Amino acid sequence: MGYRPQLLEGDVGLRRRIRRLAAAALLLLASAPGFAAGSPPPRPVEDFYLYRPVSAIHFTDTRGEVHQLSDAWKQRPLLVALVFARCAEICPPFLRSFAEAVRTVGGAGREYDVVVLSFDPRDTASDMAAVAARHGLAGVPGWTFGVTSAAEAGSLARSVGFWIRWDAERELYDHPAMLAAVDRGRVVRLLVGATVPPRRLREVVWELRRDLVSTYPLPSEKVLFRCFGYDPRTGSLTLEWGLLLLLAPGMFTVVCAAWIFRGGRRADLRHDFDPKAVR
Amino acid sequence: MAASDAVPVSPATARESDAEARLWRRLTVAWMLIVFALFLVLLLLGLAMRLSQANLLQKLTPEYFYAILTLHGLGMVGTWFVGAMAGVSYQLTRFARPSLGVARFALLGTLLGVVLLIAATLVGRFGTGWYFLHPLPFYSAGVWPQWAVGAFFAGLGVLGVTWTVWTLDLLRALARRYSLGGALAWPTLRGRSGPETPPFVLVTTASLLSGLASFAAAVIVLVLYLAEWLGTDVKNDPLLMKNLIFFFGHGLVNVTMYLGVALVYDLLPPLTGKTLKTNRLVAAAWNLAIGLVLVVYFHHLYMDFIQPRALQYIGQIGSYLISIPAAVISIFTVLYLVYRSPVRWNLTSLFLYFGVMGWAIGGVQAVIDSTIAANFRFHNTLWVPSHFHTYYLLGVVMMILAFASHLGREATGVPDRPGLARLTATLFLLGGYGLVVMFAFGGAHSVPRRYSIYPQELAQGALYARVSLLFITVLVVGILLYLWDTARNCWKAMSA
Amino acid sequence: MPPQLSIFYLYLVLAAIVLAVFFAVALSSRKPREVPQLAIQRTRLGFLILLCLVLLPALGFTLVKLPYELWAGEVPDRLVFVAGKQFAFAVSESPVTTDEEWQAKTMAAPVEVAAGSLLELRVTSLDVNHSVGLYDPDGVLIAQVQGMPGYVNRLRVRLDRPGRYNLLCLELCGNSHSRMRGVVMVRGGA
Repeated sequence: MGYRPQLLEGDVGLRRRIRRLAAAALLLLASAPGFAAGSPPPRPVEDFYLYRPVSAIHFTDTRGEVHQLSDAWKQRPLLVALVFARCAEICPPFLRSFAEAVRTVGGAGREYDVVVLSFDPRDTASDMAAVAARHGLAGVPGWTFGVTSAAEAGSLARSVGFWIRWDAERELYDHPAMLAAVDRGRVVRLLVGATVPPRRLREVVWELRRDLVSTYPLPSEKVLFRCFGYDPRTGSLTLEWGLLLLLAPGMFTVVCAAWIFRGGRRADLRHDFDPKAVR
Repeated sequence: MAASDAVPVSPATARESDAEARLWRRLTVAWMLIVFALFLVLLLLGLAMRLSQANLLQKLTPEYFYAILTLHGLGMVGTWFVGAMAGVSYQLTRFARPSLGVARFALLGTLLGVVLLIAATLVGRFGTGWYFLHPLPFYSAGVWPQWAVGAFFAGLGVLGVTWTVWTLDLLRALARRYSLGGALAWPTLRGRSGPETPPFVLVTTASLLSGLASFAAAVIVLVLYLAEWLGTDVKNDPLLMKNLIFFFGHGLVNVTMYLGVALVYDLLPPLTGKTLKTNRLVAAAWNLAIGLVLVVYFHHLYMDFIQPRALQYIGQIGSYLISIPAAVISIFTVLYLVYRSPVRWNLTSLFLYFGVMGWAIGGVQAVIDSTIAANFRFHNTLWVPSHFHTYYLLGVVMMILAFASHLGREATGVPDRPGLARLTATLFLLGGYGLVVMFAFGGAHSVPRRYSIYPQELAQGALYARVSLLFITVLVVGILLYLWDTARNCWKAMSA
Repeated sequence: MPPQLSIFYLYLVLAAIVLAVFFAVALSSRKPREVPQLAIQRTRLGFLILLCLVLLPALGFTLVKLPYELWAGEVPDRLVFVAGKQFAFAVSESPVTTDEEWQAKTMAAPVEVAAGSLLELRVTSLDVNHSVGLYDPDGVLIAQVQGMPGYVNRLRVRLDRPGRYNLLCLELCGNSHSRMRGVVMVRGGA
């Protein structure tokens, strides 16, 4: 967007003008799709967005170059996150956790790229460069930070289920923390939450690698015995008590056989057994 | 056939042995008569189902159809298991001393279990199918009452306990005579000389050990079910329950087949004039079978994508592998026994021999259906009943009916009737293979199994059912001819 | 020809071979004679080799064609949720997790997709085990997957032909098992 307010020490009048301008921009933004009015919408539900097309918006990266999101996903699948530079609440811990998870899981720049965009029309490319630097991500391969227009931010947000609400009192945005996994222009996973556990990110990267994991358990009430704590998304198997129940019949048979046939070699070496003694 | 050499018998032992021999014969004949009666009743239930599917028995409501399906499935599996056990127990008295008391207990326990199952199904309309897949017993959709669930679990519990005790007794009897290694022919496997394990003993021991594992799985699944049914906070994992149920069910039918094969190993050689010995190949095949039987059940869960992938692979690989010793050792051996041999063709030899053919043909279907890619199209279609009716009706049922024929003749001294035997076998085979081919044809045309009535989209299912009724008619005539011959002999033996 | 029919004919051929062998051997008993053991062993060995030559390649060939990974490398065009419950399938483009949602979706208009669409079915059950059998407009079973309560199974299918695709239940689930239905409509053109 390129707008960069000039803040001067002690210029109260200027600050007041800036606030009015921002409020006007935000009112404009709030009327754009992707923005929520009234009480915050519920947490985005992944199932409603899967395989839906993502808006192929334009954005400007921290070097000032303009790109289109579709050019990026043509090269590699993407992990897309929406934040804003002035966020002091949810965005910093989210970005920290996200960065750590990506470092742990690996693959950024090779198997997928990460695109972090600001939805705040006040943010500039330099603001986002500063955000990248704060998290040690400036110049890291596979990571791109950038800004986009209000309209395009709204379009992108709507296509991935991200909502934005302006809190006039605190002059901050309220929004979920989430990232969208995008493959060939479609949402393939959403991860919602300020914390990005590496295990969950691994599931998402699995999906981006196009390894189809054909099943998953639903969150459910506790069951007594499961065979495995099988997480098909990560392919990890943790043995649970239920497995013992599947092995028990075999073990029981071995024990029974050993008990019944105890005593080692016996009558098969004796030749005095008479079959006619029975019939 | 390698049997112990004859040794002198003391007079006291001889008297004891004659009396005991008569009692064993009487008990086994009683078993056979019970098996015949159950077979006829369950056959009629099967006929009723096919009539319903052919739209010729519209009075049969879906509730009763599924109750009948449950009783028919469980009943046939149970009937032929006890038939095989009764036959094997009787033949085992040539090698060991099983307990007559336990055998009687098994008969009474089985009858009690059958009564409970009949009450649950025909009275209570309990209709989950033989495999009572969790959590269906608790979701009757208003059809069966709670007491029917209780009666069903009680029936299974009674049968499970009865048959486990019976199995343990037969193993105890073997253990008095053989060490574990001796019974499983381990010295032969190792190439050592020594007393040879009769093939019958080897196969019976291997089968009984596998059976024990199946019953253990049944106990576990019943306990888990009861815990949930009795209103505790216990919730069971459907995947674990399905694994346990098929561990039990598949194991039970597999063991029944192998017990039938044990009867073939014992009864067929004398009728061919050849002898059968346990060599290294035979020993290896049956020892391998004990382990493989426990893992091939995975092929029942291919379409449960949640089942860990490794188990799916093991299911297909295990199912393919187990067919090799079955074909190359057992089935080939039977062909060898008959080839260029002066076979005494009677009802016994015909039914034993063609029962093994049923095992072979059913095995072809089994390999096909245990291929995951094929299972994707065939699972839960009529292909599956085609396969297990081939294994059962045209496989192990024929083996057990052969034993009954042998027993009836042995007990009464009635001579063979080769002409009648050939006619009986011809009708049985024609009718039976017609029935199973029609099932397979239905499966090839995407007709699902376990449908009480076929909807418009599957109208061809009703036509195939009608055609199969023709074959069922031929089959029933064959069965009646068989019973006219054998059941009469058995009845005479009981009355003598 | 659907694969099922081809396999059925294969089965008939193999069954006929087994039948022929058994009958030929039985007929041989009319002319009994001594058979050299060596010939028997060689025949057995030959049979073993033949069986292995058939089974082992079949194993290798078929183990790579698993239904768990159909269209794994593609991004589906549509996601369809299928929830089974006694006695109907709710087929929807939004998740079905409650009885109310199931009720609403079983009465809703069928999901419509364009011919040639790659669908991902996410199948579960809200009560007992069901199984989704997907039948094409000619009534041929083209795919199936179990619906187990507490789990979601993902199945990808490409529906090329326009028409009505029925979802029939293939896992016994109660007295109205044969009446369970779901529908996906495929419209012609992209």
